[in-house]
Amino acid sequence: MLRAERLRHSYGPVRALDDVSFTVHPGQTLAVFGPNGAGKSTLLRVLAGLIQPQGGRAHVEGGRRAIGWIGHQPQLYGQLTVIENLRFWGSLYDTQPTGDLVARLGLEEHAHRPVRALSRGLVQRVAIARALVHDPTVLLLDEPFTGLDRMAAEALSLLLGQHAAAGRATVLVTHNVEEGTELATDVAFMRTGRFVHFAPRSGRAASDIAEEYRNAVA
Amino acid sequence: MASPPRKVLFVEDEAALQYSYERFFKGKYDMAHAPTGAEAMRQLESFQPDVLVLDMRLPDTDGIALLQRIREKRPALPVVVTTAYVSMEPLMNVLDLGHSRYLVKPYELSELAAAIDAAG
Repeated sequence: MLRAERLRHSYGPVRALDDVSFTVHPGQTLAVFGPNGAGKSTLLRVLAGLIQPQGGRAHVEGGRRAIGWIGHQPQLYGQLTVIENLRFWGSLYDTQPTGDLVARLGLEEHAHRPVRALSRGLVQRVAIARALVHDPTVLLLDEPFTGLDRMAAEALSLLLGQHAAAGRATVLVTHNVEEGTELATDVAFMRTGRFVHFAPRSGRAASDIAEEYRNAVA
Repeated sequence: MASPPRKVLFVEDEAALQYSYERFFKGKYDMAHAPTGAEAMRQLESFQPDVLVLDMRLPDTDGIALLQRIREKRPALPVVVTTAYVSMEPLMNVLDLGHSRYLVKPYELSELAAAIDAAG
């Protein structure tokens, strides 16, 4: 479970977060849509504990160890092999990568190749494995589908579905309403640091949400 | 009487690394964290660190540009630069090596502690 209570954070005169509150329960996937500069990434960083907010508080059940983060950068070391990278990142959480994780991302035959020798799509899959190496119960995703090739996007969608089905929580932020809507149980629109819409998806189609988003944020 | 712990600002956007710093250095340093250049500049004023640990790759700015802005405000602040770049050549133009050190990722946390303790 994850809870944001009256979050506030500013950079000079710019309010990145302006009284944001919500709760995400186990099994829920919240998709937060908003234009660039709306405060989405700041929100995610506060939830992850990367930024201490100037006001309010964020609570993640299980603390920071419970969080898995997928951002824009793969955060991998090119000179290390796939398995060495996963072992390194796992060691930060006192754990080791499982064969199941490597298999679910189709990385078995590449496990002992240096990351710098892999295709971009494979690197993306290793980056996803890296974020999941400590079996997080809360996933925070910043524009997770941006730049993914088809196979990596399918692997990520599959993993997010499994994560939710296991009763785990996810928050993803993106400026692209077409991305992530199908996975969402709840949808929020963000503008100038505030939630201007927050409701269950309730079976709404991506096209309907896109129209609501344009009306609310444009 | 023991001196108070040094105030260290970690400028790092990787959640797993921040988590490990928090655990490994708890009680050793008085810590603050910043995952972006904007947050780093804000914390530079509000936290007033004794030492800065700066990752060169940040989501909203590059580390070299940020280091130049930091140097304008705190010319003598000890800085430990962390980087996955193999070549450090671009940094040599901007680093005041009298106050800065660098580590190439990945490194042992004990190496980082040694660099922080030796900085300044």
